[in-house]
Amino acid sequence: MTIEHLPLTLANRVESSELLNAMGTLITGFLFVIIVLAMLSLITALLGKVFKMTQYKGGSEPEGNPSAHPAPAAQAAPAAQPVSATGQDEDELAAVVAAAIHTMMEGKPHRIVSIKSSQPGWAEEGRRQIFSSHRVR
Amino acid sequence: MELIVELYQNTGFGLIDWRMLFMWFIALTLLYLAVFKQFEPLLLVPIAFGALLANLPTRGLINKPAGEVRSPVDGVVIQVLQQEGDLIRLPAVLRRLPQTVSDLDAETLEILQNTDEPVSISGVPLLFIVRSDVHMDEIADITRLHPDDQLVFAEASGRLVNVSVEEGDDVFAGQVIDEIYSEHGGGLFHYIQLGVILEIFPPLVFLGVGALTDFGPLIANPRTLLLGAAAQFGVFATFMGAIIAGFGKDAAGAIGIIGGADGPTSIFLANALAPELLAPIAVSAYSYMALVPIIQPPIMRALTTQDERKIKMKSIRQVTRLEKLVFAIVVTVVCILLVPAASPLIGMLMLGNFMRECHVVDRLSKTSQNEIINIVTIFLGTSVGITMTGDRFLQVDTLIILFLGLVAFGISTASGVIMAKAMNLFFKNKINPLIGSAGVSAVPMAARVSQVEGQKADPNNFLLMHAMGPNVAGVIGTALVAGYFISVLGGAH
Repeated sequence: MTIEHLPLTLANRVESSELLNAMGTLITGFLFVIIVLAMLSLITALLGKVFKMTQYKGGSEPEGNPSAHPAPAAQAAPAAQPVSATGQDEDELAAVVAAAIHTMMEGKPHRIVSIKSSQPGWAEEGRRQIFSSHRVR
Repeated sequence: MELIVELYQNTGFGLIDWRMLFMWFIALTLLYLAVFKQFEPLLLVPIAFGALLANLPTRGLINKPAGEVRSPVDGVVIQVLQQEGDLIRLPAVLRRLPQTVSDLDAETLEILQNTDEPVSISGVPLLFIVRSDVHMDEIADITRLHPDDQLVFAEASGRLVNVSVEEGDDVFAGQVIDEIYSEHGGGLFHYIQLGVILEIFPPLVFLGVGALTDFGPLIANPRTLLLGAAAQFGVFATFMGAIIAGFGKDAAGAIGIIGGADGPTSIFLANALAPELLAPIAVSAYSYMALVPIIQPPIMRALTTQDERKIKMKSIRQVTRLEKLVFAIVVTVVCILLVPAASPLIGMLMLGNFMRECHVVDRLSKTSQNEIINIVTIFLGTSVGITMTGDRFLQVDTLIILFLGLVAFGISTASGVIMAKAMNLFFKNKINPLIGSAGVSAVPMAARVSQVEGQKADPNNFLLMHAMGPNVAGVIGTALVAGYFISVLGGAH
């Protein structure tokens, strides 16, 4: 299409049969995409259900499913109340510890009973690094 | 003095015209936007630099290699204008050439009708004139030219050998009618561009995109696949708009896909259906993707109430590795069974994703995420840019395509938002309609826009992960639409 053809095209060249044909392509295509993705959505939802069920039964899935176990996170916070920390922002600390434990437990049900601060482990860590830097024969 | 004149003639100054200068301006504007405004710089820099190269009188950069010359149509050879042994030499700057006799000026037509002189247009020798869809016995007078007669020009420099047809011979489309021989090969970008022409680069980019994409949010909330589907309405609506604007069906399909906001898919489809429109379509797609944060928010705000924008969605569950692997396989099998033409895109997307999620081929996954996608992006961008020659790009068509692309983008955004609102009528767990707009692909920019708009309504609302669902669904949706268009409009090979 060139500049000279443009007014002609816009005004006359698009026949109604062509438009109807294009409309058919539009409707079919859009419905097709909706149906295919709806099918995928359904399959994915079903698969999700199956996976959730197997997780409840087995509970040994490597990447845990927290929504299947909503209780632990909720339980963790109140359980962390009696924390006796070093006088800093205890709520934040409890939340961080609860989140870390939740990640480590990979979503398995758990309850935090107490949080105690350990001794400063810098010397121990230094020793560990020195030892681990040598290959034991 | 003669030496100075010869020296000047060997430089490229004499070949510069206003179109080139205008394209330099466009290229520099794109470079400015990429470098100083950071609008999709990873793509705009190679595209803009390619455009600059395309509009310089280069040598050994884009020229085609010598080889066979084929008939473009079934029909009869009306005129043979060059003889075996003639030396063909193409100019450094190739202009857009006329395709039929009706495109020729009166003077050239006069020479063709009444003399045996060889004819060149913009320095490119005309080799043959072929009349389509007829047989020799149907032609009364072969010396009279017809406005629809096809012109066949030389595409490479070299010596004309093996002229295998004479005036009056019947030929079929693709038949070798002569050969240009040269010891020199084609230009650098002739070979790099083969990655686009042979449809290799877009699927390779999809491999990287798959390796970079986490389908977890989509698997955790499969309803969002519908948002990705709804956003494809913009593609189809623009397809209709392009038909009304006078484009053919193939071109209309390729233009419509801009609404999918997926660069590689746009290039893939444009190359399959309307290769001559590749440059404006690619530039339009990437420009609007860069402008997502400007185009989408007004549409999103216009279609939603403050309360809707404040909807907080339930936090999404974590998805297991096995679930992600099964999803990759299921999408591959279902999509390819339903739309075989989408196989290169969907297949590579899901291969990349499977490598990412299986956690046993980290080296391959990382290579896809970094080296492969980076290398291909350089070549893809420059290959698109190199097609932006002034005489091809500075057309009314380009402006119409840019406008239609914008319409496509707007309708896609609106469709996603409206679909989310419609789904809220049926589902108990409400969806924030702002994530509907992320159904246009533009990963992850569109999802980020949903997040930003959500936070404007409620600073404690975090929509990013929810918006990633429709965002990646949009990638699958656009690839399916591309496959659908190729199947229906006949671009399949």
